[in-house]
Formats: sequence, structure tokens, C-alpha cells
Amino acid sequence: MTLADFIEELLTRGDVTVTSEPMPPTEEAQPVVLALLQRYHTQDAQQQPYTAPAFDPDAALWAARYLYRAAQLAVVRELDETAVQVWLQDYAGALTPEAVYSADLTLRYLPDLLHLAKGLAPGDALVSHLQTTARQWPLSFVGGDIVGEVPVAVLAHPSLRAAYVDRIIGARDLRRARQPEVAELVRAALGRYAAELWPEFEDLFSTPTNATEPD
Amino acid sequence: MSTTERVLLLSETGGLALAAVRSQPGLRVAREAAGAESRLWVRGLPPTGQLALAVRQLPTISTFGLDAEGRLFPVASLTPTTQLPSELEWQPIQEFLRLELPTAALPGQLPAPHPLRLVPASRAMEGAALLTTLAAWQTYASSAPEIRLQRLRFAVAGPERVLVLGTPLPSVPGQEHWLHHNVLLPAGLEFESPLLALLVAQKYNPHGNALLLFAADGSLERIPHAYLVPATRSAARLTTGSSEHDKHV
Repeated sequence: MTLADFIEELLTRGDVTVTSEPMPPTEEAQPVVLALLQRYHTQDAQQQPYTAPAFDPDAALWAARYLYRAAQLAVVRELDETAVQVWLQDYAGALTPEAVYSADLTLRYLPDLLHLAKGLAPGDALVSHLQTTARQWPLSFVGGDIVGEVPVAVLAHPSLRAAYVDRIIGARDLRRARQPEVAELVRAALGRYAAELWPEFEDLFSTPTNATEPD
Repeated sequence: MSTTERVLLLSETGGLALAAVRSQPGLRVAREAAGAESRLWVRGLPPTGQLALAVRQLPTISTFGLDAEGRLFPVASLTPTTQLPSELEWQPIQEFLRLELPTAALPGQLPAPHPLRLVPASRAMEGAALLTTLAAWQTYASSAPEIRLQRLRFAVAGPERVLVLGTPLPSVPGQEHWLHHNVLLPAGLEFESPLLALLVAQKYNPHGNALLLFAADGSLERIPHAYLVPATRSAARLTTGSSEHDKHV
């Protein structure tokens, strides 16, 4: 099993295989993995709103490794908290739009893994680490119950902003949609069809909660 | 002498008159070759009593009484004069004289075709489709929220003709249409009679597997449902334009 095999399985079949041992650097054959990820980036960008950010190989490769190792840690229960800290390194580069989108190509699968890990051991160090990662990469964790600050970097880019709103609406994620900056974007996306397209969102803002009647 | 029935003998040409008695029950006819000409025998008439007027009016050569031994007795004669030929092949008169449809002497007159005209609609109908350009559609699809695209389908007939179907329709320039019996009519127009939509659909779309797109001038295009694809950003971006559907004017 190489990292390329793992990515190929993930992107073509939707299921993955992991080994119990750490993957040797030689099996993380970067050129092959990067070629796979770049091809997927080209295909996925066709589906993104506006012009998707360019491919960032460092961020894409980091995220692919992160996902593989997180999957290993989720199923190999004898690996302890130290292994989590050693294997799951945070991204060292800047969170540019290119990095956010390129990492999202594989990080978008992490919410399912987090859900699985929480089911296995809610208090696990892996769960805690993934929740921290969820706050750092909000675009990839829409729909989950970890809601961090409003992702300014995501909202600053037209394509990422629209994709973020798409995902919030698609996941019916009211926790994120109620954040004021995000709510404006969701309202603009739904337009005058909010009651038809997402009635719960419409109800959220049409029902007065703390209104005071004037004298 | 004891006759069992009466028998008529007619010439071949006289047989044309048999059409008048074709509806008489029980009559049977046989043709007998007699030299260059042939003769017709008719049997199945009662031995006594007055025959029906139509039978009496037949141009018979002779009328006989027939006994059980096949002997033929002229009327009011006690002596047989001949024998009914035994080799005759008898047919019910309805089979001997088969009905044929007459050839029309004059061709029928077809009613004049009624031109399809669209008139200003008496009421506003909700838009169901939009005819726009590929450039406008691609620009919209690139920036539109996904939840809006998910409710749309589209078909392309060229750079200047893209039909987008669904609700809510995109807010882009184009000709809006409303839907009635799989017929798309320009917004603000309708047929002179509401029944025409159903008749048009039956004529041009009998299997219901297409949409009929009408223009304001009454011309129509047939767009099979199979040509409509789900609206996705990639589908819109990768579309280059083609023209395959049927056009009727």
C-alpha cells in the first residue's frame, strides 16, 4: 500500500485501505501522488464556482498524508497519543486560497473520519486533534458540529466564498449559517426563494426572538 | 308430383339483377357452364305461395318446381322437363355476390388547414423555461449557487440558443416560456383556443417524450427530454454547442 494507492482508491472507489505500520517515505512517492492530486484538482475545479484557486502542491500533499495517517490512527487502536502528535503535523505553510482549496481536495473526507473516530472513542486524542484541525480548515468541515470563528480567509476569495456557502446550504448547516457574515451570504444565495429552498433558514430570521414592543 | 322448392334459371347477364334479392334469406346460387355462355341457378324458394316482389321481378329464363329426386317441373306442369344438374356448386347468395366499396367518383374536399396563431395571454403564467445564449448561461452557471443549479436542466442548440428548464429560473437575459401539455409557449402569449395545446401535443409529441418549443411567430421546435441534462457548473462549462433537434415551421 502506497500513498498513491490510497488516494487512487479514495478518489475512484470512495473506500480506502490502510496498513498498521507507518508508511515509509519511499512509499509516499510524491511525483505520483502529486500527479493524481493535480489531475483531481483540474476535474474538481470545473465544478467550483467562479475560478477555483490554483493547485498548491505542498498543501495538497500535506492533506493527503494527513488523511492517510488519520485513517490509520482511527483503525489501529494501539497507537497512542504520542503517535497522534508525531504523525499528524499541522500544515506549516500559509493558509492562502490555493492552499485551502488544494488541501480541501482530500481534507473534505475528514468529517466522515472524525464521525467514525468519535463513534469508536469519543475521548480519544485523535478526536481532539481532528477537532482542532476542523477549526483550522473550516471549508472542509462544513456540516460538522465544530464551528470556529468566521473563516475570513475563505470568505475573501470569490470561489471559496461561494463554495463555502454552497456547502452550508447543501448540508443545511444552521450553526454556520447563523453567523452574521455568513448569514448575509446565504441570504443572497437563496434570494427571494429562501422559504422554498431552505425553509429552516428562512424561519431562523423571520421569527423574532428578542424583539421588544415599542411603547 | 311433390315439389320441395322452386328453382330459377337466369342468364349470366340477368344475374346482375340478383343484387336486388341478396338480402332474401336462404337463397343459394350456382353457375352452370352452357357452351359459350353460362347460366345461373337460384334455389331456396318455397315450393308454393307468392314469391316476394323482388324475386318475381328477376329476369328469369325459367321457373321450375324441384322434387326430391332432382327433377324440374315447369310452372303448372305435372311432367318434368329436365333434371337439375348434379355437378353444380351452390353458394349462399351473400358469398356469390360479395360487397365492394364503390370507387369515389369525385375526390373529397379537405378542410383548409388552420394556422397556429399565438395571441396575447389573458392571464400571467409562471415561467418554466428560459431561452438564452450559451455565453449568458455559462456565466450564470459559473457563479450561481449550487442549490439554484440543482433545480435546473438545460439543452443546447448552438451558441445563441440554450433552453434552461426548471424553477426558479435563472435571472439572465432571455425569452421566458410557460409550460402547458409539454408545450412551451412564450411568456405573455397563448393559443387562440386552450384546446390547441393538447391537439398540438398529440400531433407533434404523441409519445410525450419531448418538449415543443414555440416561438412568437408560431414556429415550433421539438426537443426530446433526453437532450436535457442536469445543470452543473462542469456541464455548462464543458458545453461547446450543437444542433440536433427537429425543427418545424
